[in-house]
Amino acid sequence: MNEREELNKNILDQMTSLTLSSEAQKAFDRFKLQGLPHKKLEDYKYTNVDAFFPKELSLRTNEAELSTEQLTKLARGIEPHLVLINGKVSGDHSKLPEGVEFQVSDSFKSSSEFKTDSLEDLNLILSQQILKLVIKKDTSPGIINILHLNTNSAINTVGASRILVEVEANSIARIAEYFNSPDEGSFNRNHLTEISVAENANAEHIKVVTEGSESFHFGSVKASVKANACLHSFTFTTGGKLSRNNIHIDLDGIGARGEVNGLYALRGSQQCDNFSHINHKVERTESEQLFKAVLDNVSHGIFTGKIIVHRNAQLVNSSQLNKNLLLSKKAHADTRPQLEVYADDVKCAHGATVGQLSEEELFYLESRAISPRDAKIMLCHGFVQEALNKIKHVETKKYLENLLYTEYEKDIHQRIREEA
Amino acid sequence: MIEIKNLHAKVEDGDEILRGINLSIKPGEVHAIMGPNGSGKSTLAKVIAGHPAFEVTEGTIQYDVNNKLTDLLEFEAFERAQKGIFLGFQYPVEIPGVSNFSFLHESFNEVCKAQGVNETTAEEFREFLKPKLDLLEMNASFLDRPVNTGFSGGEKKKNEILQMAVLNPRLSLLDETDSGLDIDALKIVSKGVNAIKNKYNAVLLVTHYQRLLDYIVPDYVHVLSNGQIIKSGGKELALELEEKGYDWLTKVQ
Amino acid sequence: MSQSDLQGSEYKYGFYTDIETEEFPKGLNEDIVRRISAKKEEPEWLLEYRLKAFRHWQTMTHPDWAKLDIPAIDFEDLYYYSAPKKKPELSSLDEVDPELLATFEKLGIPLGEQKRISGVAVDAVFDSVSVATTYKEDLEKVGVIFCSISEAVKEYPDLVKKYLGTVVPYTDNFYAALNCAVFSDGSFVYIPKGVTCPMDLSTYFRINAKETGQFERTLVVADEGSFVNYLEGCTAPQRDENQLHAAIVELVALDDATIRYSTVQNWYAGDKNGKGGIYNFVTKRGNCLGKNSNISWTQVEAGSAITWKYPGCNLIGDNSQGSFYSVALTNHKMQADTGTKMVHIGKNTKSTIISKGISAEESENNYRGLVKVMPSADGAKNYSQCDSMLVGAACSANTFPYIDVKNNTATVEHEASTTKISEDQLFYLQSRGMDMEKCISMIVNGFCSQVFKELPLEFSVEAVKLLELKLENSIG
Repeated sequence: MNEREELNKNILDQMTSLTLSSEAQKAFDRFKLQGLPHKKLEDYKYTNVDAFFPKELSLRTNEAELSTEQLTKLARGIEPHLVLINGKVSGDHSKLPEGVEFQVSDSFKSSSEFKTDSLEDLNLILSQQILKLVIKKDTSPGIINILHLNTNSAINTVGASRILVEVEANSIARIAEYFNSPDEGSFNRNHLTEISVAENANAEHIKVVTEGSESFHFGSVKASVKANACLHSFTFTTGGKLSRNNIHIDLDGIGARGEVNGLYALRGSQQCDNFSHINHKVERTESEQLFKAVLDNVSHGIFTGKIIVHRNAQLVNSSQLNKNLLLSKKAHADTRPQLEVYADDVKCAHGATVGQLSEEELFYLESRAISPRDAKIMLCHGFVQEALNKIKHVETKKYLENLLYTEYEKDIHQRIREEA
Repeated sequence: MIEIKNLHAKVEDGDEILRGINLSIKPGEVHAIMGPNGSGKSTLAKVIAGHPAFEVTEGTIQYDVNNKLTDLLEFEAFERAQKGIFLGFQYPVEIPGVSNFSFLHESFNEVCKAQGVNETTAEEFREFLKPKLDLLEMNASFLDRPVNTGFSGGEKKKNEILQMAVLNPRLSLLDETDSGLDIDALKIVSKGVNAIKNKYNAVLLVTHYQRLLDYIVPDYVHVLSNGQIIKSGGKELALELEEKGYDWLTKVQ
Repeated sequence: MSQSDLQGSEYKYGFYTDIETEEFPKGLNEDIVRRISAKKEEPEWLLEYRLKAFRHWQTMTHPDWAKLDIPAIDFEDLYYYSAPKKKPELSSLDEVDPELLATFEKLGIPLGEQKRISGVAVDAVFDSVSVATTYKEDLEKVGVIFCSISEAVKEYPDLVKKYLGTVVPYTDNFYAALNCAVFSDGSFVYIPKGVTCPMDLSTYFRINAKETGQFERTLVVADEGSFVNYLEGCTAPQRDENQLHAAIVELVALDDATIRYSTVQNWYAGDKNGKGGIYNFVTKRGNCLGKNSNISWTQVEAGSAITWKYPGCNLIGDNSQGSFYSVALTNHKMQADTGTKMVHIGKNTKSTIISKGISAEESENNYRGLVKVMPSADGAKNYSQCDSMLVGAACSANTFPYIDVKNNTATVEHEASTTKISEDQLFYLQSRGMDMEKCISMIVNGFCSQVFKELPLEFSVEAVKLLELKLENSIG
């Protein structure tokens, strides 16, 4: 048996002792056939997950408790409404806003048919709780901050969790999920959020990956947007040793609209793989996508953006752009914008760029008396700001602007100032 | 104020575009540069401003700053801007993610610094901008939009003149500022330029059409062809060109 | 001369030439490979090369990653060698089988002395065998070598040995390995230092025999400072079973040399129901070996039931440039998976990709391109533009670019768009008196103009006509 087979067998062996719901059993059967994803799979061409599933890895996370002081520290300035510690909800620390219905169950009922990859199957098998949030019809409860924390007792375990969000008709939902884990120790996180946005509803989902520097983050967002509803999705990644963000949006009703944006700012030897799939299933749907990458040192940024326009989906408008800024010689960008169009009366465009700051833009600023170094700083900042400007919820946007500046940009600006 | 002698310039790895330009501009003057497509008009403006795509192979640009003569070619683009050279772009560059306000503010403070004047705070600068916005009939909301992104052609050109008003340059090089503008926009832009110009500064207008010169009246008109100035005259020359085209001049060459 | 009953009047090259051919038994094994090599009287080194490739091919599996629906090809059920029996003397056209001459004349490629196309030297390849080459003496005068590969192996073995297989090694892919084992013939071109080839060079491939795979091999070497314009044209008769075309084209450009390679492909695409047609698998690659070298691929694809080709350039020499201009038209039930591979290795290299896909009826048109910038490729620049036009509601167009950048001083830009012919455009043209077909062909030509203007004149005229012909019955 080779290494890969051993790995998969190890995982399967650990799972046989679990009691599974009928849905989870189906996922188990699928996983048995496919095993962990690997580089020969087109969808996982650039991501090697094996390193994060060592033999000693336990598939069950240990529960833990946190004091309020500890929590505040780990929350890094966020006021959380829902707290999950090592994948399990913490009743003590959670308080949801008025009007948001909350349930916890251990069986799974998905509202849509989504195809899954093996890490998503693993999520279904290993999630010990399914959390469900319902934003009731015609309400607008304000921001819901969900904080996913890992404590040291979660090292060498897979922390799996799953949240279903139902945004009912005509309501406005704003949800931000923060994924934090300590820098020391290797954490393996597997999380899936499923969102259904009913008619005329307006939802924003912001995912913030600020995991520790030795961590593996697998996060999947699957959404179904119904008639005349709108979903704004934003994926912000600065943390984790290896992160894989799956985003799958089905535009299911006439007039549905999806905005799928993201920013990944990496350094050292971080790797972030963003895999997005936007499905225009019916006519008159619209999608817009902007993903921006800033890659420093020897980091590796990956973007795959599939846009599929089904045969009867006429009068669809779709535009997609992935821009990569490479700050150092050994930084590496891979980008695959993909367009599959089966309907003819549509307007679809996509684009990708990789490179440094534009000479023309630099000259424009310099011709306004701004020194070359300041011009560079201004443009680097403008580059990330354009992506952050897509976030609708103002406080979250400001928080992330600040976070990005202190954790990432500050050092880069300093380096530019010190350049010869 | 500015004396250009035998200026030769080419595109990197390319052909020579300016082949010996001689031009002298004094404070208070308005010079118009006209000529057929490809003559090098835009290039001249860009070379004076220090655009990195061009290489000067011969010649000097003497610039008089406070009675001190310097060779502009020794300075980089941002230094020339700090010394009072302003280039109004033919195709203003879009810079998404950078707000118009912070861009203008930073630029203004750099010029202040270079000229030994105190920098401004954000509130002070906003106040400072108000009359300039009014002059160009621009709404304050422009300031919060990203630089030139999503602006119409006319709005972009107005934004250039707004910058000119803010930076108060000594020599403004306006590259086809009138292209793509309707009559109303043209009038506003010209009003702006005329309000800014005075006896201490000068304007170099690069233009194709006589129309702009009805609103911003030149003291001198020069015709550029094939990288050289082949004829200079007063504002009547522009009218003559309007009537006869360029052939009668270029054929003689 | 017979006409198959199955097609309509659309494909005018669908006739079959009745000519005596010699065939080896069907199927492929080491014995057949040796027989091919022996028949051509090849030296030992070439036989060894074939055998190595064959053994490697046996270890490989057919690729299935392209988004194509390829019914399994039974490799044992094909002839791997079929040559016209009366092999002509290469020095005189008088001894060429008159049927062959008539065939090529019908295709618009007269080979006879009086009637040959002036300004274009033609190497005619009939069922894998090079039949005749025009203008040989004129080319010899300036030192240009243009002959069949079989002849080149005998007359110029050092040159061939030096470059054959250096651009596309037999390990490259399944069909490349197959070709290296059983290639029968093709064209060899060598342009000496500083020479601008005095005329365009052209090879015309014609697949005639049934159930035969066609495995040509082309090698073009442009020495320092030279220039050549190479045109490739292809046709095949209509049949109801599929024919296999697995070719390799290798281009090598040394310092300051330029090779422009143009193809107008009009293989039989199968009838309205997708029956018959050519399986076209070609590996085409150019090595821009020298500094400032330049290789450009220009192609118009309108035929073949299944097309699988990715002409590409390895930009090895500093300042070298590679470009790819393509129009791919699919209709009926055709499937195309085409694109290009540009690999930036040297410094300040540049690549340009302009790809236009037009799909009509129930066809599927895919662009798959790779732009790879290696860590050594300082200052690399790439610009890609991939546009798709859909005619009708049952077809599809897909774009799959892969961009892989490992050097931060590189600039890579990619754009793609998908549109249909707008009603406004149609109405505008119709209101100026043009009928629907003329309108569509005008719009489509405008859509493709960026590519067409890269083609040499004779080809661009042919390309325009070809598109019009193909689109004729596809509107609706």
